Amino acid sequence: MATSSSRETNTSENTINATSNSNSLVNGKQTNSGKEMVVNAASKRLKKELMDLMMSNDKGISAFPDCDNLFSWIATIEGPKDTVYENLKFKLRLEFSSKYPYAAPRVHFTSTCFHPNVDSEGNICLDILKDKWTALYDVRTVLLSIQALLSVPNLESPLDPLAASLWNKVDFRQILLSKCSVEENKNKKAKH
Amino acid sequence: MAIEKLDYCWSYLTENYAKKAQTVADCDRVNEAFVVLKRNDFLDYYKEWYFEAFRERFANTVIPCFWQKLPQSTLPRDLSAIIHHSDFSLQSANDACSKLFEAVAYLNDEFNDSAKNVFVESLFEFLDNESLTSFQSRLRSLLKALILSNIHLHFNDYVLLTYCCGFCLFRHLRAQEKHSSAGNRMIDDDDEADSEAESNADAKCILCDGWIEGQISEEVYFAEDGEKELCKCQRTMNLFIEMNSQLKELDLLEVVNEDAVASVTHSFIEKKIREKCQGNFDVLCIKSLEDWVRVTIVGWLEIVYDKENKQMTKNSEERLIHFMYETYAQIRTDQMFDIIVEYPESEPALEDLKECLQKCHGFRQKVIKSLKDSFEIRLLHPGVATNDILTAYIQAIKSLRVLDPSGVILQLVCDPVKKYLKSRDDTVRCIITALTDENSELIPELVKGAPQSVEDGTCQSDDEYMADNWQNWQPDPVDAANVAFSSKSIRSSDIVSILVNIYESKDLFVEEYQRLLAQKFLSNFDCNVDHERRNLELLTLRFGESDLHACEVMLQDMTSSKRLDNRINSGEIEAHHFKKFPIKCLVLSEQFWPEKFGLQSNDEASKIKLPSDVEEAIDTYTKAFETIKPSRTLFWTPFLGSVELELEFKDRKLSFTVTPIHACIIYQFQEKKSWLISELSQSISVPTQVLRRKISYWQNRGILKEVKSDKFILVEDIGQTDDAENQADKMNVEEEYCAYDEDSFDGDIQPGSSRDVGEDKFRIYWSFIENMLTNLNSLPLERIHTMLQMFALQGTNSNELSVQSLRQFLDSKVRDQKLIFSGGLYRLPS
Repeated sequence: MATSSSRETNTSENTINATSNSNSLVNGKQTNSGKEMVVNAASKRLKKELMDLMMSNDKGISAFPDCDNLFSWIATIEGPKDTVYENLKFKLRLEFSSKYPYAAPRVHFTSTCFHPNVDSEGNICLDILKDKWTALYDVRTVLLSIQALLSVPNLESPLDPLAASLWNKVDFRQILLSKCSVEENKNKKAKH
Repeated sequence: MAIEKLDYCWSYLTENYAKKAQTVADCDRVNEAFVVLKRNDFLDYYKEWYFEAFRERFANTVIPCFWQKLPQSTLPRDLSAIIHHSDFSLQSANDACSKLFEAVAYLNDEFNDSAKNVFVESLFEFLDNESLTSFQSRLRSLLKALILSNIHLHFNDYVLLTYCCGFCLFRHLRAQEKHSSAGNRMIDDDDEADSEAESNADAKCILCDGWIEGQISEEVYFAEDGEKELCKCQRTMNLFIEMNSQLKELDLLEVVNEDAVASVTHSFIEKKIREKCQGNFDVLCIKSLEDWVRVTIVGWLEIVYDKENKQMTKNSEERLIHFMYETYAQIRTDQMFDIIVEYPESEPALEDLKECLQKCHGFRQKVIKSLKDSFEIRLLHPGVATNDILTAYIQAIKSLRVLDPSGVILQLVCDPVKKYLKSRDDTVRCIITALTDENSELIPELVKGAPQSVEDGTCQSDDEYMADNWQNWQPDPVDAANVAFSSKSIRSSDIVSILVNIYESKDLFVEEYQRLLAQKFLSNFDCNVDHERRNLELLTLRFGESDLHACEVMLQDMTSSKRLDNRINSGEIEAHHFKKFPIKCLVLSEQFWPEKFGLQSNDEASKIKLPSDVEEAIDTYTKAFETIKPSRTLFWTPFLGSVELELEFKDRKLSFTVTPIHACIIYQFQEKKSWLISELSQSISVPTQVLRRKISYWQNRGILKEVKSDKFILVEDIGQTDDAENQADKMNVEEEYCAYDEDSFDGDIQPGSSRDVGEDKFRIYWSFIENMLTNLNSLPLERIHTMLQMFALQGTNSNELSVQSLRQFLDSKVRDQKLIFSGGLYRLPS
């Protein structure tokens, strides 16, 4: 047998510069105002953030809408390494208003957290959640900021004076652990 | 003395009033008697007595007798069938009609005897406090009351049947008249089938089956024995007219015939319309129907009601015309789906219906509902191919435009169709194919389309639209309010825009178009680039340049690489000499081509190793390219393209055009006549399961043969005996079994490509599930499924994730110890 003739038509690519594929379509004027649009915009944004968060694979933070309510999320933060919070997990709840992302979400700890800037109710004192909020922040950056806050508290405006006074002391970790374990026990009892 | 005389006169007058024959002498005696009565002031008493006597006589004798003349038994049994049957025959109704004629004549005679005789007339010559006519009308009222209070149920049937007859006769005679006046059979089609049957050779009247006078030839007339019955139509008609005038005389006409006239006219109008428009959409007929009603039906009414009663016929004319329109609209509405399917042949029907919709109230809703229902039943189910749905949709768009230029009906009707099409996977592909197919009927639509008419969700507001078109402004139809987001520019946009707007976004279409274009180009090297360019330019008008930029580059690639290829193959470049075979090459700018070049599952053989000869040829080609275009080079995708092969065997020569992978396989058999699949896989770097599928191509053509599992040999000549193979095989048994074990392991796995896609999908799901379970602790399967559908599946519209496959996936994670399943709940290991 012999392969006598053959013609190959093969494809390959070369290097044509990508001309800017500018999408200059300006969205038409939005005539429909009203609450529905706002809610739509907020939920659209939240969906997108969720998808981004899922894709980002950040270590130590995660969040997901609580059941089917897109405007209330549960988040989990792992304590940063080499801090007193190492190997601990903290749960938070994020609540979004329909004005999101133009208004900051309400964020608070649902699990006990002993920290100078967190009070016993779980409220957090963090500037980006208050006056420094901009629409450029999102769930991911909020969670990363809170994670960072755990390792570097702002001792100048403490919410929990006891924690502030004990910061960087040997006892801190013990108190923290005891608080957390108390909660864990509670949870376990509740489960049983 | 005076009393005796009075007594005598009274007796005379009361006893003889009913006598029929009266002589002049009688009249004189009557007059004398009344003189006596008047003298005694007894005239009023006599009048009252006469009235009472009249009542008694009619109640006890005349009216029972009248009813007796109309026995139920004479009526044909299946009355309604006879009336509604399309060719009404007089025979079946003849008896009943003549009974009614007779009865009415009897009643009329009796009344005349009693109300217009010498007695009454003389009485009123002497009376001056009441006139004769008013007394007679009192008598008529009495008669009417007596008849109606005692009416028999089947009387209405008699009347109905008779009027039905009357109408048929009228129509028939008129046609006959026209026929004879026209001399021959030049009759306009308005005049019924009757007229045509009329002129048959028998010269027999089809209505009464009698011979038509004058038309019958003498031979026929005298040929048979017995009496020949002549056509009785005219006679019956005269009787009918007479009966009407008698009824009118008795002041019974309207009371008796109102219902019958209404139902006869209505049923004949309906019959006529049905005849005209059953399955026939290509003739305008509303005008001719209107004329028919005005001439035939109203002409008949004039006969029934007498010409004097103009107001009566005028009123009913308007009512009948309206009824005709409504009936027509109703019939057409029921046929709406077929009308749409047959568009444009059915355009006249649509024009007619449009006119009806303007005249009749409430039919817009009916049309919409009827269409929606028939779409639901006949179109929107899995048994119909997407192409057919699209065709019907396009037809609906075109035809409803005719019916309702404002587009409101269209939008209301087609909403479900649109939604349904959206749910089908292949809709985009079908639309694009339809748009770019050379023979498609959509091409003219594409050509005439307005530039940039496809926009993303946003559209011109009504005001802007009106600013350009204010002269053509029409108020919205009343039901426009039902249409969500109704905007004129959407409703009036052209077909292509409507199709593209099914998805409310052009991105999908642009992507699909790109993929289709890529497939077309890559599967057919000589594909007609000019035709595609034309299509692309038309599409560019609609979608805008920026979105179709990539496609333009693709086209450019095709043309420029043809040029380049010609140049390289012309031998102009020194570095390029072909030793064994010519190569043609397409140079593609990968960034602008769709992912994987729009071909499915082509990565399975992406690492294929081409034979060294070919590799060499490719290298020289690349070098030639580099000399023409310095600073650029080629990256080959060897698994695409096609190879023209000629195989020479001992006893035959075969040529093929195949894919590179097929060519590689057969090329290997040039060196060695038998291969184990694992060896072959190694030698050309193609996974075994892919290889096996590709080998089957050669197996089917009888060129390769699997002698033992996984061992393939070349069939050198057809007559080769099996024995030789078997012997050769036995020597390698051991080796084979080893290979078999390896292969069977991954032989069971699904084809590589689809598995990859699935894994990619599940990787996304897994990160969702991980996050979900981290934060919500433990969840049951159904909950995870709904959450995924809610949050993860958006955008990927059709890739539904079934609960079943999710369970499999989760279970596999449980096996990998990435998940814990307990008590029906999944959770992450802590």
